[in-house]
Amino acid sequence: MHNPELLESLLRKLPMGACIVDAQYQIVFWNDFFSDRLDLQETDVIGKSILEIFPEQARFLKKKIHSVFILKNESFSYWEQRPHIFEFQSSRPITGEETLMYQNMEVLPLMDEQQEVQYVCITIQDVTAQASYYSDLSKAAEELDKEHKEQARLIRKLEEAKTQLVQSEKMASIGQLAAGVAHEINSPIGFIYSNLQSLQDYAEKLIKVGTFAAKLIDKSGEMKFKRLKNDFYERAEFDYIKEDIVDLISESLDGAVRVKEIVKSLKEFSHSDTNEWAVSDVVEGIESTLKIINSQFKYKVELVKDYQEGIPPLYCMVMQLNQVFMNLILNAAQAIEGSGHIYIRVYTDGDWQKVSIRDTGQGISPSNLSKIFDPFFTTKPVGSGTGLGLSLSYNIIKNHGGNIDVNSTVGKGTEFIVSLPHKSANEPTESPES
Amino acid sequence: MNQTLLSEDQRDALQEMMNISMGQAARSLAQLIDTQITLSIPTISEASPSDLAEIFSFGKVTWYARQSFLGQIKGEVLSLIGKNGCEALAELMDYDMPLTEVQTQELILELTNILSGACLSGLSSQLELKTNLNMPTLFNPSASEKSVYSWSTALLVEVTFSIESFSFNARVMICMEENSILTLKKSLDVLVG
Repeated sequence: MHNPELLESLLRKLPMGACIVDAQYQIVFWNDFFSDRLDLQETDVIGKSILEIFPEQARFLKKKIHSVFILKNESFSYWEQRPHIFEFQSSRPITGEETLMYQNMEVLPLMDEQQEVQYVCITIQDVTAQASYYSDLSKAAEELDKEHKEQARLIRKLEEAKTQLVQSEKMASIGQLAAGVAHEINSPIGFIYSNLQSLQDYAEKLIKVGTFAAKLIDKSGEMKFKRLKNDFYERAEFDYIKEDIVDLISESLDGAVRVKEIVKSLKEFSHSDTNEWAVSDVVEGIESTLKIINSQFKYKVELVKDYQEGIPPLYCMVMQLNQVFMNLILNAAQAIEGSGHIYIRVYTDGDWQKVSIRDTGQGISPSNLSKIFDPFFTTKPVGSGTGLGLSLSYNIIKNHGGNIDVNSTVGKGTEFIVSLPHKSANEPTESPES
Repeated sequence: MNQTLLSEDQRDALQEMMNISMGQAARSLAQLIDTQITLSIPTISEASPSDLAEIFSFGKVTWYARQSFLGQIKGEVLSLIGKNGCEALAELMDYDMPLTEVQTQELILELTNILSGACLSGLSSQLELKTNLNMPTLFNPSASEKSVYSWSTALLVEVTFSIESFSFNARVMICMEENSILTLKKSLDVLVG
């Protein structure tokens, strides 16, 4: 079939755009696909420059057409990179959601017998259906991915909660044990302490009696009694006993006082209502925590305390905070090899009350620094660290609306700064008359 | 003897033809971007699926694109576009800088089309064979497996383009499957006489 008229009418009716331009970018042919969708008849555009008719795409079209004239090869443009070259309305004006047609473009060289490009033909294919199907698919995939991430986040949260539960249950049972022990020790240490006080009194009196009797015998002038007395006192080491007994009793009393204090701290620490919010003094909390754990490091660590005067009490869960301080201080002590210092500083900074716990230990390597608050992360040998202390501490401080910050230099030491808001969001507002 | 292997004469003839046509292609390309382009002497080899897998292992330094062609010989043209120097080339080609992701994709596809078009039309015009290139597409070889290849040998005609004034490199491979190789051999025999 070589009937040019038939071929031309076929080209006009083709279900795709066809526009032929010459080397000066002038339009020489424009089929119905173009005129129907742009409301521009062929007669309106013939002889005009395609670059002037589509000024927004002029740069792109010029580049494409030029390259086809030079290279004598087809050139393509794909809807994914350039969806709407020509402002054709969507092929689905009634039912579709898209308002503009998605297009694939192909620029074809039309060559004469000498293999020189005379014209190029811009063909446009409507791929709206394909594009919309594809973008629906990607949207679905995106949503799926989002859901997947949300799920992963929930699982992580669940794990955290579980971890916290395990830890708080452990703490609770330790607390109960401590409360039981404290209660059992409390009454015997009570009578030991009061007996010791009486004993101290009695001993003083007995020494006085003995001393007085000796003086009396010496004064009587009876050499026989005097010799007997001297002999007896010497054998019983009376001079030594009367010195030593005072020291022994006062040392025992000191010991008893310390036991009483530890018992008191244990009772405070293991107080059953650990999760209750109350107005409490953070410094007192630190002190009572120190009493319990001090013995674990008192020979290798020198504590330096710096508490700002007149720190106001905080509305907080003081028992939980104590647990945080205990974790931080024990970690600090464990970071110290040989001997070193721990600096505990409590101060206010604007709206925040801050507790800084700084050690002169080995420090944390930068690669570990980002992981220290992760549950089960530990650098301690298997069995000696749960990897829960800091993650639990982190959660407790977050529950208070606060922050834990950490600065560390390997070989120099680590500083943890706990920041707690002066005014907690949970704090009950005071009634005006009170 | 393997039917698909080229004889030495055929190989020499093909290489010579490719050399002539690539020279023309290089001149056109240089005219288009106004920069001197260096082309390697085309190499011709047979490739197995595992050779192709090796070609696909440079994902860190190159982008891959492919473009199939139909006609009297059929196959795919693979382009390995070096990531290095792409920005400078984009500037020469009148792209807005810096490139967005979509513009980068467009650049790779454009380069692929220009380079593989030049190579394939060089080959087919010399051999008087008719071929038509389809649209180029981006290609992520890590996602495909060599086990899915249904061919055992492909003919590889490989040309390297480079631009000296800045560091840029691209490799174009015309890959043909066995039936097309037979057609190619017939055409070569006619030409060689």
